[in-house]
Amino acid sequence: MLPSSLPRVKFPNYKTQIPNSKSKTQNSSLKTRQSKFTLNYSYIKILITILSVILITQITKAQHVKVTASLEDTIYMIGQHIPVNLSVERNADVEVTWPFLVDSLGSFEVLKSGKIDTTIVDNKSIEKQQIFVTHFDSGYHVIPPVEFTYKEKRRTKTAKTEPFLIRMNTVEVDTTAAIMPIKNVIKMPLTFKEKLKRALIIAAVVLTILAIPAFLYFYFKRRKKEAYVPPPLPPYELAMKRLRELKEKKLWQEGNIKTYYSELTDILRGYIEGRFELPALEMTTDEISPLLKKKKEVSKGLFRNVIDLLTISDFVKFAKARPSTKYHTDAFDQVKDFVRSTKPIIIEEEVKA
Amino acid sequence: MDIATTNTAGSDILALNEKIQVESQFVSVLTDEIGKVIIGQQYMVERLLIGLLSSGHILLEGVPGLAKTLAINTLSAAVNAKFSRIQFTPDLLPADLIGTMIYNQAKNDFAVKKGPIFANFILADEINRAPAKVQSALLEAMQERQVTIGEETHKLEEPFLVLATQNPVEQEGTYPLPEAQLDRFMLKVVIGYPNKEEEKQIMRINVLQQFPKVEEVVKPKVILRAREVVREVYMDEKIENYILDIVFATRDPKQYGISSLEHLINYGGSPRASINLALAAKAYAFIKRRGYVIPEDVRAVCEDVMRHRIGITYEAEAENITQENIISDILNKVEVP
Repeated sequence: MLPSSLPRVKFPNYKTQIPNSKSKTQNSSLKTRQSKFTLNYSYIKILITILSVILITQITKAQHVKVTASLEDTIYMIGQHIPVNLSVERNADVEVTWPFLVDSLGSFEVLKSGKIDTTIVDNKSIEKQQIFVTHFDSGYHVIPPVEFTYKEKRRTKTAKTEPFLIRMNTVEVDTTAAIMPIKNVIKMPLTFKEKLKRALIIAAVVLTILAIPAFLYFYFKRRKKEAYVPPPLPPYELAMKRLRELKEKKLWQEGNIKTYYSELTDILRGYIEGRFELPALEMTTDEISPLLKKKKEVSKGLFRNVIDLLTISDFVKFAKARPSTKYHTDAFDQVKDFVRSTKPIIIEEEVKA
Repeated sequence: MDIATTNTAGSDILALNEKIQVESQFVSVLTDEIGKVIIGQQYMVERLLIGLLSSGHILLEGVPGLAKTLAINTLSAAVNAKFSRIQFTPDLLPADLIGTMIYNQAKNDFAVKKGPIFANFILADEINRAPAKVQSALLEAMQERQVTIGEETHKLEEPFLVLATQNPVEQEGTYPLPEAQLDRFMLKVVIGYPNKEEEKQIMRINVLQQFPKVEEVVKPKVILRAREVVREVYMDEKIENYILDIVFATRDPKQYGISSLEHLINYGGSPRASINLALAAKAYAFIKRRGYVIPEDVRAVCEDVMRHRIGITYEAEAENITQENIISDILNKVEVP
């Protein structure tokens, strides 16, 4: 309906304006007027034809891009996923920009947008996409037109799909029925990916369980091998063994007097350390002397001999002294004698036993 | 049996022993003379002699009133050497120490005004009270044994011995010596209180004002000659290795089976520690009238040579572990040759 404010267009009433044929003048003027009207009418026809051609041409041109949206149904349950199929049909030279549907489409929530499939048939490109929308309110809702933009001859234009009226139904509640308990979580069948993941976890757990005893077995086996250290020789045996080795070296006989006395005092101090639990290897002769004197196992004679030996050895080691040849053997015998004389009794009992 | 009855192969040592017997005669004379004034403190006097004989400077640490100044004063009087005492204060300037150029109006020229450092024995009292630039000036003179004033370099007269004192209490407003400068002192001697008997004597002498007069018993040239003999004292390779083992144990205790010290030591002794330990051990052997060094000599001076050269960690400080504890542990773990 036109609004009342618009001016009305008055067309001539041709029927009432037709002149009486009886009058010649009237006839001639009528002819003139008829020819004028015919002429005017022809002009209008030509004009209409031209306009029609232009309009048809424009319509034909607009049809270079055809956008459509389709639904499988118009009635859904609330929250149900509604697939909307969008399609664009265009000439190959036309560039179409798809709308960016991320969150919503009108009052509908966009759940998922599929990939755009393109098919080219007869120099025409058909692009299709399926999107899933939903609504959580019951009643009638409109899926609004989806707007596409495209460029044609450097001009940006738009094309829209048809709107759809959707009815969203709710679950009918039977108020007369008894209240039912909450339903259990529905168990969905596992997908292949999920099955594979579960299998891999089980395999890893089984392998770990099997690996732990294997690791422990090899660890303890290896440790047992490494841990074995032969028990240290008792101080007496060690000293006697080292004295035998020193004798075999024949150091003083070969002129290595300083080395001979160094090794001899090392054996002696090592024995004192092991036998009397004195850190004799880390002590000087002056420090060893008062501590050794307190030991009951060491007689006065033994003590004097040992301290003399250590003092003379210090001269040899630090002051280039060279005792007589006889003293070399005497020193050896003194150490041997000291070791034998202070040999722990408990060792002898063990040997006898 | 002693060294005298052994074979003559050690004859050079015997000869050195005889030389030392002669050259070290002044030691007992000097010790006795100092002992007239200084009651007790034999340990400190012995360390002063070690420094004097091995040309090493000494840092004395002790609470006030322990005769640190008196000991040095007495030593210089007994040696007949020039003695200077410099009281280190926060406003002291390097020129106050080493001297400066003074304009002579009559001659229209600059003349050198030598500072108190031009003496044989310098007592740098409370060295940690002066700022770093004064400490540096003194320590440079200690190291180079010469001082440059203006364009002239002046050699310091030998014997030149610096004895610095430090007060372990009243640390507020002091400038602790940096580690690099501490390292230049051969010994750091910590002085303790005298015993009851010694203190009774000190009390009597002071109350009655009966201070014995110190006589000049040694000439500086005797000290200089003795220094040469000290350097001749025989040190066997085993002793050298023992010294190195001790110093290296401060750097890498784990290598010597003392892993427990590893987290307590921040840094160990520098090569100066090895050098000074060897020199001090030789001087100690000389004082004991021996021409050779034995492990006892090294152990006797080890604490004084090493204590200021070992940096301890915060963990050690928190556990109240001192440098002395660390040195003691090292000496008890490093094998004696």
